[in-house]
Amino acid sequence: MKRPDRREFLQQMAGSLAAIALAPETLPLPPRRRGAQVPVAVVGCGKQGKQMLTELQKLEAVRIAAVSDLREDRQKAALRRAAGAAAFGDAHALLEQAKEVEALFVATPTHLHRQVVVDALAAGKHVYCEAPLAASLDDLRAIAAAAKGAKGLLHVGHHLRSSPVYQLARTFLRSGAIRDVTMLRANWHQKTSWRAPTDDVESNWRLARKNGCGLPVEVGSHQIDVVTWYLDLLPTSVRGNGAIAAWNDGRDVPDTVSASLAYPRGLRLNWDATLTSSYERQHELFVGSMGTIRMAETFGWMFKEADAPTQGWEVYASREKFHDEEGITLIADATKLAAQGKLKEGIGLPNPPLYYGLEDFVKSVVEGKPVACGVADGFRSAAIALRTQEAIDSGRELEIGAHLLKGE
Amino acid sequence: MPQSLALAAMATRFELVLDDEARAAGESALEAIADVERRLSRFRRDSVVARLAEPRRHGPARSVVLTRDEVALVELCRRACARSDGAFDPALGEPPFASWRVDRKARRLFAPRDGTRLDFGGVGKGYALDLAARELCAAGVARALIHGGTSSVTALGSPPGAAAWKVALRDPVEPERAIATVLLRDAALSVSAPHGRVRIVEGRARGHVVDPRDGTPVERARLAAVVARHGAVAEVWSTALLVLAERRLRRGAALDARALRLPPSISALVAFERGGSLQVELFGRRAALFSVVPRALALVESSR
Repeated sequence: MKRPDRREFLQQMAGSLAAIALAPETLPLPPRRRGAQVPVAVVGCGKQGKQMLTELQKLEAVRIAAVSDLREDRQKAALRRAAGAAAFGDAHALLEQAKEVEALFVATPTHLHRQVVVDALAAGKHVYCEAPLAASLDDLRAIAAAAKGAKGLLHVGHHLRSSPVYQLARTFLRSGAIRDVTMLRANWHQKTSWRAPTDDVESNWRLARKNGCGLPVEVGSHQIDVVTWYLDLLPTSVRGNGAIAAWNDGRDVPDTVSASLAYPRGLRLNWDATLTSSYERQHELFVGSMGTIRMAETFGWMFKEADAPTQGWEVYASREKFHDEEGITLIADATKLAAQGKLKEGIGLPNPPLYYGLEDFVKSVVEGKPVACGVADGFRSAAIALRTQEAIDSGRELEIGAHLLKGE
Repeated sequence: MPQSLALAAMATRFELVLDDEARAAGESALEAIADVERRLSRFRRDSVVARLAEPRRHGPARSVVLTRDEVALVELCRRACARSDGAFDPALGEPPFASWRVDRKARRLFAPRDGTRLDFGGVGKGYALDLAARELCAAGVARALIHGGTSSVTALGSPPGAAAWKVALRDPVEPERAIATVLLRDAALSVSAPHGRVRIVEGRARGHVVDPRDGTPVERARLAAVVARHGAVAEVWSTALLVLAERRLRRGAALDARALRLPPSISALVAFERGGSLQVELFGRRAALFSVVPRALALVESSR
């Protein structure tokens, strides 16, 4: 396959995405007052909300002023991480009473994003919404409509877009380092029941198909987003299958799924996910005619073909063996680190991926930096993932028409 | 039916035994352990400890924001460092951790100077077990046993038909035998011993435990086991007790609870070498939780 043709891509997207492509988050904002901390709130203090609170504490530019969760025990747990914050039973009460809050970080279950995001934008707040953006096309459209003309920013938490290692690998790929991309593969494997330790049905929202979620939406959307972002390409159809392979405990959401997404010019993304095994964990693989790029959360490697041209910097590169393959470790700021003789220290990242997404959003609010993942991007990735889910449920190959990816 | 879950973290294996229906709670407990590793491991670039150790070109040395639980852990470590006269010290190098500054209100820990490093290795395990146990309790789990690398154990409730979980302590000289058993119910146990990992220095085997104050290897004190309400407390004091016992043994002084300055909330067992034989001493109000295995006892008696 040839490298993505920007003109073709734009033609494909023309019209359908024009409305959301011009949403206000892409426009530069006037810088916010410097020095003062931005009062922020975290809505939804489950597992993801707790991680957010932990990472937000590293950011000097924000102060956690409020948290909200329906469950009191989670509010308490959140306050253990956020000194001096006010706790609320729901986002509505938070928006009503914590007027000083300027930005909301939304980490509620996916099917509850819509209400919180729409209300927060209507109240003039900036919003960081965890990805996937929503669990249905209706909800996606409602959020996109709310974002249009909103005073506040909307950042969707596909945080790999903010990761220095993923950004570096993207630069390599787009500069032709692996030449023509011919094959795509991604997987997400974790051995977990995905069950919350409570009989409360709402807390086990991930296990019920009626909530619109499943592995393609909850985890696949992040990996699909990386492909869209790297290649500027959108899939045209998808087929897949899924089964409850191990967790036969009353859930109706498959614990093991695989899907094949067709992209223009014969390119395919083969993706699978399971809750039954942790082998290989999370990877995205971009196979090219001159090399392969393999990404794994905070790590990235490039495997070169024997006939690939040699570049000067490779002499100093750090390498890692994988059975018969040798990967060149992709290191952010490698030139600077190499000059200081500290290249090895740069392997991996000093923060988890989530941190970089939160940091980017805060920079958008404070400094007017363009939003790293706006509503248009979040909409597309969630819509593709929802269609993937539908294909798995139906057992048929489904088209992904431009109309599905429309933001209004 | 009981089942076990496991997690590889902190360079060891954590295992959790609990009732079948409590699996989801068990997974949450293991997630809490993984979270502690992410936050406190000195081998991860993204941990609080690594962040604190990052050199800074300009301005004062680094400080980090902690969670409320981490502030409690830091306070425990500082107090234990002071009380044990540096026998327990997570700071690698000067100054001792007891003198590090913590702003409790702002939940901030300040490095005393640039590049100072912390190692929460052992105490981190106990702390992780405490947070795991809290997850289990919050989910209504009444009985479970969790261990990290078998040297740190936390027991919730008791197994069916028994009053407590019975845990055996491996004999430091003859590892295939038990030196004692200990009964645990809603309590934590930590075992420290220099024989776990051994390195050869000038032809002599040396354990991995050293006195943080002067780097003297612990040789005469062979094992310290501490039972406390919390895993972090048990960890801190099993390490401190091993070093404190070594200091006194080197001076030929007796091992008594007052001289060792053990806190009243813990119970402990120390096994040590004196006059070529292995001896055992018990300390604390609940020392009866330990039962020294008869053969080991005979060894103690014969040595006296």
